[in-house]
Amino acid sequence: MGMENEKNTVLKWDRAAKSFDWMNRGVEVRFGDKKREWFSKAMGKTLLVAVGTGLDLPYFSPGADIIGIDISGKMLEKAKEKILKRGERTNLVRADVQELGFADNSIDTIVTSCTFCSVPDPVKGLKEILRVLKPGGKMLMFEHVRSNIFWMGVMMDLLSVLTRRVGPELNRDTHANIIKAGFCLNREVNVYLDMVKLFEAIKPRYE
Amino acid sequence: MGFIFKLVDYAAAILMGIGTLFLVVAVVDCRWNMILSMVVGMLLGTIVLALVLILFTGVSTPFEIITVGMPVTMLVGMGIGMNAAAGWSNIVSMISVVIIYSIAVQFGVHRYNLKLKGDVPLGNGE
Repeated sequence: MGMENEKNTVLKWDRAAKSFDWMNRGVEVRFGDKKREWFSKAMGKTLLVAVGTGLDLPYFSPGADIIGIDISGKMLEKAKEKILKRGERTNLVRADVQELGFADNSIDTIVTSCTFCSVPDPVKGLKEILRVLKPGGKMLMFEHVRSNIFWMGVMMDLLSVLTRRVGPELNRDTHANIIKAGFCLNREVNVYLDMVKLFEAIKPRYE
Repeated sequence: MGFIFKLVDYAAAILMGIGTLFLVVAVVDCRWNMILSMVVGMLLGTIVLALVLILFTGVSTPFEIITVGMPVTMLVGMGIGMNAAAGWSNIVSMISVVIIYSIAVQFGVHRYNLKLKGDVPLGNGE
């Protein structure tokens, strides 16, 4: 069941790769400044989870050594074109955030951008991130989540039935998932209503 | 840029309202019953929402479009559907009401967004 789930996830995002840049133009136009403000805080060895087609790469400061991972090979092919502009300090790896092949405590900063709406088991993915992050290391997230405004939350629950077939879930409770995974949530910022958010979380320095 | 985005949002809201109105007036017949007219109106509104979502992809996001689009297109679709079935044909009045309603919904969402924007208070131990 797990392998079938992964296969379906890969197929879904391989299909989405063709139109991904076009579909997300509006997000970059509207929220690009916020993403730049947030992601420019990433320093050292930085893991960009679900790099997609590389739309977020321009938002990082030169001090970040980026490893971009994605479960979709098609997405990574498109991202390769964009990393040529950034140069040597960006590597792309095909990987699943639920089973990262990195050593414990090996990453300085984690960045996610509309990632945990799509990971089949988000808490599992966040626990893996916690494992590879150095103690005291930061996770910087730009995510869309389920709204707490009643009618909008219901609408997102209903729309998710359709959207999950071709893309993300719309009704994830990412705040709760971050806490469940064992992170200390340092900061949560509403960007658009209470459905588009920035999160800053830290791996505790002790177990 | 913020001002331009606001204009885009209002343009999208009005387009969704007026688009729904004209589509419903074109499709719904005065011989239909009220319930059918309402449901068909709502479905037509959803089609308009999807079209505006595609049209505004480069300058807006699904969050902005759908948040405003759902109350505008569904309620306009239902309301105009009912009115069309009742044989009400004062199109100028319908257009005026729909434009005012669309603007009011967008204004309300903008104001609420300003209220929610920024740091969220976190509980102790998070």
